[in-house]
Amino acid sequence: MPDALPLVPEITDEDIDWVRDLMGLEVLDAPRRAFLSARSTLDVSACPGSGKTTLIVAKLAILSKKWPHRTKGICVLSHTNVAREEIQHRLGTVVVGQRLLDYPHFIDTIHGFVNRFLALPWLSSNGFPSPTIDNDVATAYRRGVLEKADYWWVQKFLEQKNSDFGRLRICARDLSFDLGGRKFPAGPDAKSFNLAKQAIKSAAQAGYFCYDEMFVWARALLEDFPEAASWLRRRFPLVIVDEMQDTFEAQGALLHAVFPRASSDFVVQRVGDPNQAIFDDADAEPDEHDPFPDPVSFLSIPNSHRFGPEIAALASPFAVTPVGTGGLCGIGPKAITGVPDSCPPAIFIFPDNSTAGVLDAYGKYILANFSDSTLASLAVTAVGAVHQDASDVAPGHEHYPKSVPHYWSNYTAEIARKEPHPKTLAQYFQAAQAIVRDRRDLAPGVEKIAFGLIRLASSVGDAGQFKRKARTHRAIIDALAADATVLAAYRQLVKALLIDWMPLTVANWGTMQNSILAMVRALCKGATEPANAANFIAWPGVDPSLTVGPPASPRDAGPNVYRVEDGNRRLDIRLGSIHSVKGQTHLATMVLNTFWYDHSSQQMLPWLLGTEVNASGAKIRDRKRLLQTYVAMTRPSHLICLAVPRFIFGDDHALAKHLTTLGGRGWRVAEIENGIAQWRN
Amino acid sequence: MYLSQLNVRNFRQFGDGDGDAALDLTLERGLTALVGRNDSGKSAVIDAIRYALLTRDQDFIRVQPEDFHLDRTGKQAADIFIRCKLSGLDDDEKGAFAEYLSYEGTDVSLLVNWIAKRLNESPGVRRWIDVSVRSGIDGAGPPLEASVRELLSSAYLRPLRDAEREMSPGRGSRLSQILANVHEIGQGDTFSETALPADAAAVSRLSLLGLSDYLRYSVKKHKGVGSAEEAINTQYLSSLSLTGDSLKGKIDITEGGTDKTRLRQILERLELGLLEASTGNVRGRYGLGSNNLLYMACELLLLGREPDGLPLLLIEEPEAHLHPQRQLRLMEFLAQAAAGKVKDTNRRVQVILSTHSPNLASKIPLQNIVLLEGGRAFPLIRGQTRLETGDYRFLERFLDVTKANLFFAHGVIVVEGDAEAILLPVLARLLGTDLTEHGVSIVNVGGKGLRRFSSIFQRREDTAPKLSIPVACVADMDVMPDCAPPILGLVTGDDDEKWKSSRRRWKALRDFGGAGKTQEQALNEWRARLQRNDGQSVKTFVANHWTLEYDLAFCGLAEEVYVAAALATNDDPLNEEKKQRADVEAAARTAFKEMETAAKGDRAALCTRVYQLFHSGGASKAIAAQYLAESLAKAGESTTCDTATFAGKLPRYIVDAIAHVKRPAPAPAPPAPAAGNGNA
Repeated sequence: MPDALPLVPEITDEDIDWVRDLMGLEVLDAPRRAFLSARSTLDVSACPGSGKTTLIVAKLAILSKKWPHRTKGICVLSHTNVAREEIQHRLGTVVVGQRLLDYPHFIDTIHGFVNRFLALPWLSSNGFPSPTIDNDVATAYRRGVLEKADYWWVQKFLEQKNSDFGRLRICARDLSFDLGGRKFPAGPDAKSFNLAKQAIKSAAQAGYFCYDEMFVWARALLEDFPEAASWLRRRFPLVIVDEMQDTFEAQGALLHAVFPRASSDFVVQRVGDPNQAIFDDADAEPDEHDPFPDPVSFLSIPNSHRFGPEIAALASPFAVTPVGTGGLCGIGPKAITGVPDSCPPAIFIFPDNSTAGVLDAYGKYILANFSDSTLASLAVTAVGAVHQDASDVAPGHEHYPKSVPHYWSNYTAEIARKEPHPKTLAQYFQAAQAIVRDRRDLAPGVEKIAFGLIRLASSVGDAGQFKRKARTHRAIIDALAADATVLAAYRQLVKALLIDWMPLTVANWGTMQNSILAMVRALCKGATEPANAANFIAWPGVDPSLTVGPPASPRDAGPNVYRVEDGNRRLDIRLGSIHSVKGQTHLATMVLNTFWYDHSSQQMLPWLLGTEVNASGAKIRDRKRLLQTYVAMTRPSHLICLAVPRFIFGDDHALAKHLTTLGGRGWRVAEIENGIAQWRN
Repeated sequence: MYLSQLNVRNFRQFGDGDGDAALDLTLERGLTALVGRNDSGKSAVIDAIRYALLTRDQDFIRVQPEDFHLDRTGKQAADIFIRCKLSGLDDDEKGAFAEYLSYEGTDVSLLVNWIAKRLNESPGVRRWIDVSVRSGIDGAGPPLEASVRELLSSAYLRPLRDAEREMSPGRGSRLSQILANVHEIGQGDTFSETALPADAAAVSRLSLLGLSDYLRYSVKKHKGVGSAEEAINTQYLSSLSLTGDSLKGKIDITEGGTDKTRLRQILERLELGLLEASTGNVRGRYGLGSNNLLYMACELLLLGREPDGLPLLLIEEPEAHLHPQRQLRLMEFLAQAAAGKVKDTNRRVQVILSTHSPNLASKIPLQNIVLLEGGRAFPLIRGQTRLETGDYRFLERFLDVTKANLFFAHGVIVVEGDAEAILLPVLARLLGTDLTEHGVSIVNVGGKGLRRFSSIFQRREDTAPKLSIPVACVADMDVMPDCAPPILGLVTGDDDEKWKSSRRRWKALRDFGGAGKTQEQALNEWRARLQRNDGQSVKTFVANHWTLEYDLAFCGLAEEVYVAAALATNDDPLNEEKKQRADVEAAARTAFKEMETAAKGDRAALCTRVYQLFHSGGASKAIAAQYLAESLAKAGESTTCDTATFAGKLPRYIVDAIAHVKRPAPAPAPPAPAAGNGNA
C-alpha cells in the first residue's frame, strides 16, 4: 500500500546512465554521481562551470521518471528568477521533466516559496486584498498616501539620518516598521514617525508590500499555525536549494524553520558555491547560524568543464574558500570546440584619467585571436563590480574610473540587470523590446508594456482593479473594451513597439505621451492626477540611443552592447555588472576596474600577483571584492582580461617588476597609449 | 477531507439572496441525501458540485446559458458563483494543498471558488463564458491548476446511467481505472526470454505484464505467424524492393510503449460481468439494475482505496432500475461506506445523493436528509429543526415508507387516525380540491407523535428562512358535550363520584370554566394548548367539539355518519353476504329517524347517540370512514351537490385544514426544462 513507498525513489547506476544518454552529458566523475544518487540530506559545493544546473536538472529528470506520489512533490528553490527559469526551461526540454513543472512539485525562488505557501495564504486569510509585491511600487504607493509636503517632511528627515523613504519596511505583523533592519530614527510621538506609520498602514490595507516584508507574513502564519511547517514537510519529502550561497539570513532562517536539516523525515540538498556569494542587496549578510556548506560534511565538485587549466590557475587564488584539495581545476573548455581552446590572458593598463581605447583594444585582441565562427558561439563581455551611473565622478577624480559607464558613457544600469527593473515608462518599453529580441517571444514583452502602463495608471489614479489580474495585457483589453478608440490606440502602441520596432527617441516619446495618458485615464476609476507620474513618464535623462532593433540578426547590437570594428570584421562586447553575469559562460570576459571604498584592482593586486591566496586574513570588503573577482574571472571559457589604471602598478620601476611577475604567471600586458594598445611583454 | 459547505449564487433556480434565495448548505461527513420535489433544485445542487469540483469520468462540463439564474423580472444574472468548502483535512492533505489553504480562526480549510461570467452580450456574437476557479477566501488565493482539480474531482453517477456501457471494456474504461488502483494488480514476476517459465506454476506466478509478454513471445514463435512473415518478406517484399533498399516486414502484437501504458491497455481489455453466485455460470445479460449495483460497488471500491484526493461520491437517483428491497440494501451499503465500515477500504467516503424515492428516504436517518424546497436547502440535522434528540430516535423508528412521501409533498396533512386519512381526500374533493392534484400527502401517525412529524418542517430559528410547505395537523378536541358521559354510561348522573376521579381519562364541557374563567375562555385555552407547537408553515386544526365523527355528525352529516357506522358494525355479515347493504342502510335510516325524534332537537344528545356506535357499539372508525367516503363520493356525483352547500355541512376545522395545504391558485408556470433532469 502507499505508505510502503519510499518517499524519495532510489536512483540506480542505470538511472544515471539513462539520464546521461538522454541529456548527452559528459562522463560523470565520482562526486557528480554521488550527488545524482544521493537520497539523504547533503551540501554540495560546486565550482563555476561544474554544470551544477545541468546536474540538478539531470537529477530531477531521473526523479521525475520515478516519482510515485500524486500529492507529494519535489521543491526546488533558487535565489534568482533567472536560475529558476533556467531549471524550468531545461526541464521543459526533457519530456519526463515536464511533469516537474506542475503540481505537486514546486520550482521557484525562495521568495516565491515563502509567498505562495506562507505569506499569501496568511494575507488572504486575514482580510488583506490580493497584494502587489514590489519595492518600487510599494514605495510609490506609500509616497502617494501622503500629502506632498508631508512626504518631503519624512524624506528630508530620513535623508538627514542617512536613509531614505524607500527603505521603510514593515518588520512585524502589527505593522510596526523600521528602515530595513535599522530602527526608525524618531519616537512614536514624532511627526515623521506618524506620517510614515500612516503611509505604511494605508499601503498595507491596499495590499502594497515590499519583497522582504513577505517574510513578516510568513512568520505570522508559522506563529498562528506552527503545524503548517510540518504540513509542508509532508508535501515536499525532497527539497533542493540551488544557489545556496546567495541565501541571506532572513531566507535561511525561514528555510531552516520549515525544512530543518537535522530532521530525518525528509531530505534537504543544498547546492552552491561559497566562493560566488555576491548579493543583490549590499546590506544582506550571509547566514552565519547555518553556514553553507556545512563545514562538517559536504561534497565538493572542483572540476570545471567551462575552462581549461590556465584560467583555473589564474582564478583559483581569488577563491575565498579553497576549492577542493588541489584548488580549482579546469578540464574544459567543453562548451565549444574551436581553435584555439585558450588564448593568453591579458591585462590592459590605461592612463589614470582616460579609459579611451580600452574596449577597442580588448575587442581587437579577441578579433586577432579568434575566428568569426568561434566568436559566433559565445558572448564577449566586459564587467565591473560597480555599474550605477557615476557621472558625478569625472576623469581626473581620484575615484575615476569608478563604474562601468566610465568605460562607455552610453551604458545604462537599469536595463542591464538580470531582471530588468525599469524606473520609468520608457525603460519598461525598452525592456519589453529587449525581452522580445532576446527570447523571441512576444508575450512577455507585451506583458512588460502592459505592466508599465498599469504602474503609470496606479500612480495617477485608482487602478486597483488590475491588481488581481494574472494577465495584465488581457485585463487592459477587457477594461478598454468599452472605448474602441483607446483600445485601438493601445493595440497600436504594442504593435509599434514590438512589431514595427519603432525606435524610442526623445522625439517619438514626445508624440506618444498624450495617447499614453489618454489610455491611462481610461484605465483608472475616477479622477486622475497626471502630475503624480511626471517623473515616471518623463523621458529618462540621458539619451541612451538604446534603440532596440528588430531581431534581424543575433549579432545585432542591443542596449549596453559596445561594437568594435576592425576592417570588415566586427565584434560586440556586452557590458554589465559582475552580478548580472552570474551563472553565465562567456568566450571572453574583461574585468573592469571600479571603485567602491577603494579601487578594485588596487585591492586585488596581491592576489593577482600571487602574494595572497584565498581569503587568509582578508578584510570584509576585500572578501567581497574577492568574491566578485572570482565570479568574473570564472566566466570565460577561453580568455580572461583585466582593465587596470596605470597608477595601480606604481612608478615605472614597480611596473617593470610587476610585469615580470605577471608575465611569469602567464599574463600578457599592454599599455593603452593615445587609444592604441602597446604590448609590454 | 470532506465537502462541508456549499454556497451557490445565481445558478439555475438559485438566486443571489437579494431577489431569489441563494443556496447555502452545510454538509456533514458521511451520507447526505437531497430530497425534494421535481425542480426543487436537487440536480442543481449536484451539478453545482460537479461544476466546481469536476468529476472523474472526465465528462466535459460546459456551462450552458440557461445555467445563469433568471430572476422574477426575467433578468438573467451575469455571473454564477459556486463555492465549495473542504474541511477536515489531515496533515498530508494540508501539505498537499498548502498553497491553497484558508486560515479562519483555528479552522483550516480548502475553498474552491468557481466563477462563470457571461462575457458577450451583443446579439449575433458567439456566446462566450469565462470560467475561473480560484482558492482562498473570496477567491484571493491562487487559481487551482488542472492536476489539483483532478485530485478534488468527485465520482459521479448520473441518473438513468448506462451501467453496462460504463463497465464494458474500452479506452479509459472505469473498470480499468478502478483496477489500476488495486495494489495487487502490479504484482508478479516479469517475463524473460532467456529464462522461460518452466511449468504451469511458473506461468501463474507471472505478473499481468509478464503474461502479456509471454503471450507475445509465444505468438511470435507460432508457426503460422512465422511462416506468414517469412512469405511476406521472401515472396513479396524482396521482389518489390530495389537493389540497395531492403524492406522487411514483421508481424507482432500491437502494444504501446511504456510498462504503464501496456498495463493500462491490458486492463482496458477486461470486462466485469455478473455471474450467478450459486452456480458460477454466466447468465447472459443482467438487467440495468444489477449492473447499476455493480457499478456503484466499483466506484465505492475505488474511492475507498485511493490514497489521496477527495473521496466524494455523487449519485443522482440511486433508486433507478432497482426494486424496493434492493434500494434498501443499497442504502444500507452506502451508509456503511460513508461510515468507513466497508472492509478493505482505508478511508470514509462522503456520499451525496439525490432521490425521489420514499423508499430510500425512509431508510436514511433524518439527520442526513437535506430537504430542498423553494430554491433553498433545509438540512434536517439536529439543531436546525425544532426536533429534539428523542424525536430523531422516534422518527427513525416510525418514519416508514408510507410516511416518507412527506418529503416530496407540496403540502402535508398530518392526521391521528385512519378515519381522517380515508375521509380527508374525499371531503377535499367534494370541496373542489383534489389533494393528489395539489401534491398533498396525508401522513397518518396513528395517534402517536403528531407534533414530532410536523416539527420536521419547522426550523429551530424563527428568523431563519422557512420551509414554505404548508403542514396541517388535524387533531381532535376530545371534549364531550355534558350529556355524553351519562349516555355513554361513563357516569350515572350529574353527581356521580366519577366526575371527581383523578383517574378519569375523558373530558366534558362542564370540566371547563369556573375559577374566574368563562367556559369559552377555558375551552380556548385548551385549544391553544393543542396548538402550542404551531408556527412557521405548521398549523394545527382542532375539532370544534370532540372527534372527527362526532363533529361531522354535529355539523350536518349526522345521518350519513350513523348509516356508515351501522354498515361498519355489520361489515362482516355484509362481506360474507349474509346481509344486504340496502337492508342495513334502510334499517339504519329508520333507526336514525327514531333517534332524531327522541332527541327533540338536542343536537348534542343526538350526535352523542350516533357516536355511541363507535364508542361502545363496536363500529370500527376506519371501516365506517370507508363507507362514509363511498357514500359521500356517490352523493358528490349527483348534480344537485354544490361545493358551498357541502362546505356548510362540514366542520370548520376540516375546511380550514384543507384550505391551508392547498397551493395558492393559479399554480406558477413550471420552470424552464433545463432546471430539471427531464425525468419528471
